Amino acid sequence: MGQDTIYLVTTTGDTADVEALQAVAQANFPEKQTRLVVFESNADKVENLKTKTANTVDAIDFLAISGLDYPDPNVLGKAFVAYFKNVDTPLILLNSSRFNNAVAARIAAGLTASIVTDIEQPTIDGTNLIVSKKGYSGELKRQVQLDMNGGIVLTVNPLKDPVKLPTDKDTVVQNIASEVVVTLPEDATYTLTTNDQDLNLDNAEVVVAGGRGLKSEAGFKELYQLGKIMNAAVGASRPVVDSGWADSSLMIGQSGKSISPKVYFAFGISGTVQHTIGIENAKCIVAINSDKDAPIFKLADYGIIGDAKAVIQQLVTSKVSN
Amino acid sequence: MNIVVYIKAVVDPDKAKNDLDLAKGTKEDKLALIINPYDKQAIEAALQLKEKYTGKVTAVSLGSDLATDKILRDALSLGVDEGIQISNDDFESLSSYSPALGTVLAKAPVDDVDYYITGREAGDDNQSITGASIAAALDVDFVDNVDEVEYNDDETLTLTSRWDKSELKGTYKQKPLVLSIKDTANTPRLPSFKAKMQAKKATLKHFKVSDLPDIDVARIKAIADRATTINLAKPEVASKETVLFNLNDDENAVSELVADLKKHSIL
Amino acid sequence: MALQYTEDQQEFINMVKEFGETELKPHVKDWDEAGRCPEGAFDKAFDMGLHMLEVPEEYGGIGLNFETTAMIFEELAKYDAGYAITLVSSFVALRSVILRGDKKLAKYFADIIAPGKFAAFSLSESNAGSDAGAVAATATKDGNEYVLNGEKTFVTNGNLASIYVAIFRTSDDGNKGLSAFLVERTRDGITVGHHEDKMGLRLSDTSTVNFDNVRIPADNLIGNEGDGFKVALNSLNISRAFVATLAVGIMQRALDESVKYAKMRKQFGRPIIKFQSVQNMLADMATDVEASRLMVNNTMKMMDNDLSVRKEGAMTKTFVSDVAQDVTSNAVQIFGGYGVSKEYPVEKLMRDVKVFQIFEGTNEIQRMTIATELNKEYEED
Repeated sequence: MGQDTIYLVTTTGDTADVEALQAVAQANFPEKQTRLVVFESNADKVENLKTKTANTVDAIDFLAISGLDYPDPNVLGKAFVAYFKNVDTPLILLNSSRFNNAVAARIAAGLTASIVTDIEQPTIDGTNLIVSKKGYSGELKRQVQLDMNGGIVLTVNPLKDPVKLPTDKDTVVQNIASEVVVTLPEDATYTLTTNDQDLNLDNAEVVVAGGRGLKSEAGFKELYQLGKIMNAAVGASRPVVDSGWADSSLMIGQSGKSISPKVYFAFGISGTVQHTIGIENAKCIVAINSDKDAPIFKLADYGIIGDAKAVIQQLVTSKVSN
Repeated sequence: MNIVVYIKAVVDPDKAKNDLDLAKGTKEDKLALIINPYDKQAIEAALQLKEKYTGKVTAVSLGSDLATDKILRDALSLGVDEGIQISNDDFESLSSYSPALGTVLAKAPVDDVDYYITGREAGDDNQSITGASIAAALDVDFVDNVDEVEYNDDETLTLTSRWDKSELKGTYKQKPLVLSIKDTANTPRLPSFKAKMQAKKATLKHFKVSDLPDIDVARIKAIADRATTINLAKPEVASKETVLFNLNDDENAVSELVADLKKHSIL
Repeated sequence: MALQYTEDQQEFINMVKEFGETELKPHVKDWDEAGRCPEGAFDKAFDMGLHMLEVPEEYGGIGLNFETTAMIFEELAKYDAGYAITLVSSFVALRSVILRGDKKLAKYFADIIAPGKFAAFSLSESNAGSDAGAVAATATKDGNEYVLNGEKTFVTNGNLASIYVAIFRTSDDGNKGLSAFLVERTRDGITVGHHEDKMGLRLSDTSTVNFDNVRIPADNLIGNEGDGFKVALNSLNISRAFVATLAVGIMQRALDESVKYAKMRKQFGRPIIKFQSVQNMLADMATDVEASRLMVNNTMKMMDNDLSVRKEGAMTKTFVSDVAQDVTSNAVQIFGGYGVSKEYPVEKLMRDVKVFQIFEGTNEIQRMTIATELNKEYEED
């Protein structure tokens, strides 16, 4: 086994992402050396990350891929595979996100490594690593045993509680030029669909989301007014998106986004597992539904039994501010 | 144009949650088995490609004979032309946690394939790795989370992939190409009774894993055995105290809620 | 439930369930409110072949038997019986032509509806409801043509149909003076009039169709002159059995909704299903549904074996539509105040089910038929 070192792979130089990944490693594998492998084409972000992670990891390898200025998953996958080619049975962690899962799958396939995505609670049991993940979109929970005599790639869910990171490590920084050949579609355009400046589902502290209980597109649209007043981002359940009342970028849940706002308002959302899996990391859930037996109330910290449209109206009229 | 779509039999989630034996696969019930819901968009994408450019769609499924027979016939009743069963009866742990899965699937004997298509993930294990591991086994490029397909006149595709925070759009000229299709990419069609009746009589091609060409069964077994599910159970639900207001008999419910949220600095 | 489905039947039912969930459930409330289905509402049903299930393969149909077709339509009726009856009316009209034995004419008919068109059967007139002998619309032979005149009322699919099976009088000889014709919608002189704004089955189109000197080829006569009453009876025998299966679907839905609600709704600190009065209602409802389904199933099996269902069909339709009133009414009762609210699904079931006691021969007429048959059975030699 070559797993004295744990590899933390990140496809962005985003410090919050890196810290979340470090926290998982620290909480579950405190005795292991940590080596951060970063792809980030933005020089400012690289410098910022160097400063932020100084003394918190054993090593950082910045992977430079000439000719690649956005994270194309195929090229990244190949570059990471080339990077790990000579590492004996690596243990590789990435933050779970849809993009990272796609990159992780490529790394695992290229290295013939086992892979489990969106895992929690990794524990070592002899020469095995045991991880938990959801099955049937959260209806069931599964434990998977992975033989550490082979390579392992995991994407990990963020920890619920913060962990103190070490501050006394001698961090060795390397720049590694990847030799992977960049082949991209000539007309490729890469767009960030959320940006940090505008209020959006990823960064908003308050999210107001609507479901079929809002009855119509017009009913759903009232949420925008409420969002403005409350400084909140607007989200939607899948039926709303399927009905064409909202853009699919607003979808929360298994088929959409996983979000972690301070408070989440669910207006007229019944709360199927496929939806609630996306709001598990919300600090506080407020459910408004006319059906008092709607499953969403089982998850909610606060609830109002009543017509969701009427509650939105009252909130708008009373100008609730955040 | 030759299109291969990979489909997986999963236990209907509504039945799986109420019968763990079904979910674990220790019990098999044909009527509880369905095409992985995410694969329906993959089938639809394959059928649309065929209708756009003419060609043939072959569905490939790995699993028990009972399961693959059921869902391949379901796929035929949607308009898929041919079904290939790969029996994993001698491969207990060939799971989606293992890269061996793609190695096996990529060996399905179909000639001159232009596009290999998978669904974004499997509804039973919520992994999304099949496309990547097939692409690696075939050494071809892989476009994942495809949410929009534009058909070009030269039979190339302009694809838009969408992830959590970003999207990538480009025209892919290389073939073959592996695609994984998002569940929001299209609306799957419904089966017709006519095709359903024909599907019942159709002959499926059947292979055991060891029948596949150029396959190192011992090696695949060794790799596959490195990843196994050891437990599947209902998650423990943390019981939560919900502070409830009722608008039906308390006209101040909304303002009381807001006051409470403010008191606890949630708002 | 007591019926044992074959694997095939269960799969067919699942197909329709998926259809209902994706294509009907999201729209039924709006369409019910509007009192009609929008353009294209049946496209996917046609693609699926729901209008051709019972039609033999030689006519381009799926070739299922009556028994299996009924199981499928019961499932569809759980989502909306009005939508279901639109499809049923089409293939029943076709079946009434097939039964007369003119293959060429039946094929001609089948070819029209197979790609996705509706048919309608029309007998009733403003003064000829239960009394078919009072039909006044006339068909007059003129060389190689018939000329049709008169007005048909309460025509299911009247406005949707591309082809009608219509009963006209060719002589004054009471029932024996009636003849059946195939009339294409495209013939000159056909106008579709009044669209009934009904209390229930609002997804089904019921219209008046007017024939004003409509000329059709003599070949469009179904069977011979004077066969009209027989054609009508054949058609009614089949449609009675099928409307009964739709009523079973409505009842099953009422039961499903009621049990779910009774388990969920709490009063005095416990779910209302724990109260004996509610239990009694649910038990009676379930028993009625079960008995009804078995009667329908037996009638369908008899039809599959080419047995006459004159008596059994009448009994089935009468029994099922009578108990269905109680079942749907009790569903509303169990839902309490919510039962009468359009926000909840059960009031619609009660509205939908009333007409089942009236159409395809009122239950009063059915009882006469049953009694007539009994009288014949017990006749002394």
